[in-house]
Amino acid sequence: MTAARASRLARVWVVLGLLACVAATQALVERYRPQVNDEATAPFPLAAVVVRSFLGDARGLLADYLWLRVDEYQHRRRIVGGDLLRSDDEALMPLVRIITWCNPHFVDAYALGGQWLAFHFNRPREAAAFYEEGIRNNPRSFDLLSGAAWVYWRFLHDYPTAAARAREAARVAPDDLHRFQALWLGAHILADRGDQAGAIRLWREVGRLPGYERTAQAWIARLERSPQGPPR
Amino acid sequence: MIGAPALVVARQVLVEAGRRRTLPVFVFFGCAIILSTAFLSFFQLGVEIKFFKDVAMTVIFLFGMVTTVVLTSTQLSGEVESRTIYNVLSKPIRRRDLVVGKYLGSVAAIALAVAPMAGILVFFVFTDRGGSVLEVLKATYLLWLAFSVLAAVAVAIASFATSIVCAALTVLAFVVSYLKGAVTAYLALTVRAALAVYAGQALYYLLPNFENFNTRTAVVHDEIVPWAYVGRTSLYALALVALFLFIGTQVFEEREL
Repeated sequence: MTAARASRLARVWVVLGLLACVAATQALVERYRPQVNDEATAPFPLAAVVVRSFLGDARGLLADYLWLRVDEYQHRRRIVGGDLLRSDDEALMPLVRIITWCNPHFVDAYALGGQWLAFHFNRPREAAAFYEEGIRNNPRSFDLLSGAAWVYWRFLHDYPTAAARAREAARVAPDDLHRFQALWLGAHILADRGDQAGAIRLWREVGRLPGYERTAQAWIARLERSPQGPPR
Repeated sequence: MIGAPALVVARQVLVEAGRRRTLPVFVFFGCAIILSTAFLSFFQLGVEIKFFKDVAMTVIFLFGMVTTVVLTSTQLSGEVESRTIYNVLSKPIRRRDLVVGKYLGSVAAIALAVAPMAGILVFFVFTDRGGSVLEVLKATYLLWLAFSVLAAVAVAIASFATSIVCAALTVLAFVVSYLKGAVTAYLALTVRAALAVYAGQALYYLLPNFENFNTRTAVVHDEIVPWAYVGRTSLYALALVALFLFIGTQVFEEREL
């Protein structure tokens, strides 16, 4: 083997060694990555992966700016024949979708999208799926849990899931007002299903919140007076 | 080993970077954008500072990246194109010292360019009680590591290419590093052959992953970046810089000038 060839071979080995170091340190970083950025573990569809890859580090910023656009468009929707123009509403949904792809922790976008799908477009199944995606990425979001509970209850009549979501919302509520709202929702879902005892139990929980004792007592009395069906 | 001539070259690069108009202009525009964002007030309470941090981190990232590409791609190739390389190499300096010196000078200049923008971010985070200053500093340090890796990639490319080709290939390498996540996901979803999936995985582990240096989400949402992560990412950057500088020095040693 000539000296030049030996030197070239040595260089190749150094490069291979350094490549091994790169791969090893990447594997080390990978283990800690979800702690720093839990978007790394969020399941995205392929289209979202491509959009996110192209945007790189600018995706968070794009999400913020798109949210500004959503806010602006929402307040400038046109009224035709005494009603809001549906196409103006529809134009917002792709923006909301891209925002949640860019930043899966954009709770407001998930909440708005879920609400509009259910209430404006009458597509409760898609709304529930959108809420569930938001909850997967933001499991401690009160807005998403209570929004999902509402859709399961009033649109899909899936009482067990609605009650479970309302229960979770009460658990993550940031203050007593939100806890009251979640328990109120849960109690109405249970009462609607015919589970008077469960509803009364939730109202007793409401009664333990400072300032809500009288409201809770009134509802418990009302439920006890009408054991055959839920009060409307 | 890095010789004293490399440090002389590095100092010269730093002085030259200050003399050029482009670098101060980039820094000025970056600072102006960050400052203008600091006075936005159309968001609800608490969202402003989050938005400010998001914008500031992105501006530091974008301007830092542009500065890195502009500064580093013109260093070695510029010397060759203007033929001043002959004067430099007539001095008692080895080619590898020249490459390493150019790299060290560029990295120091990038740090100086990023510092004012990071300073504004830290100031507003501190005065508006917008989270931990330490976390902002960690995130900025990680961004600087990303620029250091990008500079090493640019130096490796500049060892054989002209400055325009170098700038284009450096940007391409940067874009590919973000796209490889999409390629890996696409292969895993669509291709049935295990070999292709393994090739995608190999690509993922061997090419630079600039996403590792992105801790913007943690900073914006007031989360803590563990020191272990900072340490491991530093090791990762060191491995990449060593790889690309080695390739750069070896190619430049062999190059016919």
